[in-house]
Amino acid sequence: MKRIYSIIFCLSILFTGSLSLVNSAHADEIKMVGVITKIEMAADGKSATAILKDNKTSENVPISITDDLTLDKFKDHRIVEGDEIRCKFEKENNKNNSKLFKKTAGC
Amino acid sequence: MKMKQLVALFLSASISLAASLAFAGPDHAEFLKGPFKDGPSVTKACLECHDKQASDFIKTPHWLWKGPTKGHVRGYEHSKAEFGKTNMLNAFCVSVEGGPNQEARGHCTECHPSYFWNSKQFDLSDKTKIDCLICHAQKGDYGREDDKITEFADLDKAAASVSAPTLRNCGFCHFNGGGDNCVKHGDLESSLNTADRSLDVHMAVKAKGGQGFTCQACHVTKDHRIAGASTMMATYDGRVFCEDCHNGKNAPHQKSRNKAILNNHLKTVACQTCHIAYFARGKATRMSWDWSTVGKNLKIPPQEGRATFDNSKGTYSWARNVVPTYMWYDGTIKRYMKGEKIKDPSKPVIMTAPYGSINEKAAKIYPFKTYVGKQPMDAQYKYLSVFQQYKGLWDTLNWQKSLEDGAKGSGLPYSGTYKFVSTVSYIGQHHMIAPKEEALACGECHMGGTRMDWKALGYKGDPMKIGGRFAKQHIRK
Repeated sequence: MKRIYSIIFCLSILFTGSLSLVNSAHADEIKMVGVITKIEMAADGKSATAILKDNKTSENVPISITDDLTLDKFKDHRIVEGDEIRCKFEKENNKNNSKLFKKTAGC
Repeated sequence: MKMKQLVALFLSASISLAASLAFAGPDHAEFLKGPFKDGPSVTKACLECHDKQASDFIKTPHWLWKGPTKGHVRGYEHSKAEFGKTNMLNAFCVSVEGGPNQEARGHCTECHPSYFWNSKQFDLSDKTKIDCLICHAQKGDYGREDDKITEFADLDKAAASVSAPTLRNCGFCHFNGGGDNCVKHGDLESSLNTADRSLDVHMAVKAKGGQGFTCQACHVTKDHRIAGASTMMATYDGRVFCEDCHNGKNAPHQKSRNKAILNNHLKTVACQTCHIAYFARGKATRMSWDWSTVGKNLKIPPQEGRATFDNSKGTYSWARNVVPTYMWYDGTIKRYMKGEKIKDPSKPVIMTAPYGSINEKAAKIYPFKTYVGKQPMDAQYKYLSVFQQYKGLWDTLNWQKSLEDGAKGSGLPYSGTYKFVSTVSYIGQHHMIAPKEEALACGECHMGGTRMDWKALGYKGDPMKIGGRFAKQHIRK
């Protein structure tokens, strides 16, 4: 019986451990507000990197953008350098992948 | 340390503390600890001490979006009616009244300090609806998106950070007038948040050689009534003049070797005319907006790095470092008002223009941004139409439907036929005062300088040659 309990105990530890691993692999969502200092479109037009200067820390944060709506706004200059942005991103594979990229004001 | 030194130290410390409190107000972190579940619960906490301030605020044009014209609009000097953003038309997004239940307000009143004036049904006497944070929060990423608080906002941090408004607070609305940064005003935009002295000697931060002024340094505020009149708006709370500060021992040009000549100009030329040689010196400003191209598929290259066409909004143009249009202004305006008949649709409708002429002593030459547009008018009733853009035209591209819904909200009947008419607005330029070294020199206007169109202003020629306007024989008939 003791052996069964110890096996269950070990399994539960393994299970909990694996869950925590899954959690750490799933990136946290970070929110920031900052001003665009640079926009670089990829040559194929399917992605872009925008550098946002964080209003709180003044740190320059590169954000990778792949959603069509935001890319269109870059292409036709509805979002330009100097615009203040509310951004949500996830850190994945050394990249800050944009999940939301909106101007703080305007129509 | 001697007693005298101790007293002096104590006194200077007290004065510094008092000055800092007077400027920023007391630290509210002690009083507004939260947690707050929503915006109105912050307001409720504010009202515990600031009920009088709330009562004052709900009487102001900033809250009512209308007020008496106080003689500001020609032809309405004796009118008892109240006018303002709530019931006037412009040549940007045109009107807030569109939609059967004025649904357009849901977007436009992102700039109304309330929770939330997004339909006809809104109780303007309800103090608990005031959004204190939009004007007073300094932290917590507080902001609004249409008729909701942004999900980025940390209400507890925002509430704890309240103080007298900063440029950012006022700028949330006033830098973004017309729907985006630097659209409406050529002299107010977000560059001012971090400006250096070359952009604006007053509002530039002290570390960059400026005075670090907040808006209320000039737009003096009493009982939440913020002084300042706009050439766009019918109502105002008090006037602001450069001379409010630049007088007496602070009078201008005292150290100039041309003091007498310069001061002689002050009878005819506003300070802004020489000290705002160009507007839109930070970011480009919108110079035109043509609504008639909505729904088209145009490919127009950007100007000054900004979009020139939007399928749902029409065509724009942009410019930077613009030489102003110079016009006489006596402090009153000619303003197109809702429902006013258009006499000749082949000519641009004047949305707003300064009133004044060379013959009026009180008038001076001021700088203006000339902004042109094209927007719908009722072809039968001959007035500018109200249409529902937000949750209307911007989604459907259907003019008929948006005009019908605009009529329902505004109470201005729509005949069923429309056409586009040109408009022109002359918007006063009063901010972004350049350093004195960059003020206009004599030769810009006189001795062959072309900046002033003397004939258009009513002179026979350069007044430096023929004499000033008070030499009446020189005035053109």
